[in-house]
Amino acid sequence: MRCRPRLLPVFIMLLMIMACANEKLDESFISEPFVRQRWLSCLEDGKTKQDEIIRRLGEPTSRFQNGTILGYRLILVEEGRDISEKEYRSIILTRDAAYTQRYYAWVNKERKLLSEKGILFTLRDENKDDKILEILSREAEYSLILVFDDHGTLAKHDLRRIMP
Amino acid sequence: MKTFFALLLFLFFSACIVIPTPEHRIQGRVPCDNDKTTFMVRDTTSKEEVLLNLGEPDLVLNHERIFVYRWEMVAAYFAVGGYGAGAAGPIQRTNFLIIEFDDKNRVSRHEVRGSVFSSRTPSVDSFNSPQQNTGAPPSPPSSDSP
Repeated sequence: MRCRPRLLPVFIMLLMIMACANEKLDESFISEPFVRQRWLSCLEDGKTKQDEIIRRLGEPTSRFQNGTILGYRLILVEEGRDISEKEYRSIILTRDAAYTQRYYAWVNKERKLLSEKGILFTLRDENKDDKILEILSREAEYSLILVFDDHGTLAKHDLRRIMP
Repeated sequence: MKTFFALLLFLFFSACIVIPTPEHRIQGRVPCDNDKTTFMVRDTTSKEEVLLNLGEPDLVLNHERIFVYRWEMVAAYFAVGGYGAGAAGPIQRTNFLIIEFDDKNRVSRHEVRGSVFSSRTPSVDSFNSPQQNTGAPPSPPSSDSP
């Protein structure tokens, strides 16, 4: 009978751990429709001009077919946050453990934070070295392809999540 | 001497196991495997369609004539145990989707390649058709995009 009060906190802790471990990976905050609506609502086929897009998103990552197709490699990062090497190591280790052991609570929390404070950062050759830790520790990566007509108006576009 | 080597091997490889698994992805790029490339029809599908369906390639070669997409899948897990130490982890298979376009920017060929032993991008020469290999030397590769 004496053991019961001692076992109770252990039992509660076990239940809590099990509840955390069972949390499913929440894809909603990094899904393409969410990202499109949250950060890329300015893109409208048949309306938006190329200059306007470049003004908003910056220079593209790559250009195809003489500039009629633009490609943006976008990573989801927290706005204004510069990651130190120590932080980077911690993020990588925690994320690795989260994915391999299916402990998704940490990942979900991170994704929710990004949905509130995140920005889409365009990767280019010029900024790769400066942002290398942010790039390597990104939560999600997208490829935005924009196709323009002869008048420089957006004809069609598509956003693909390419990572994770 | 033989005994020494046997002891050395015994010391370092006292427990080593490889467990093959169905290929799956833990992290990294979304695969561009055969399921994702069913839309591609030779001499019909345009570069624009490829880009809209698969996104930006990881490598662009030969002035936009060749696109390369790269992703990794876990093919097995390994575990090594010694005296007082051990390690375990996934064995990854690096895959490449290589797409070649003709002068009209239509898909002329596409191929998926993968290897557990190498993560290097296949050279452009190895992707050229036999006719191209016997003809004029291929133009030097250029990485136009990251």
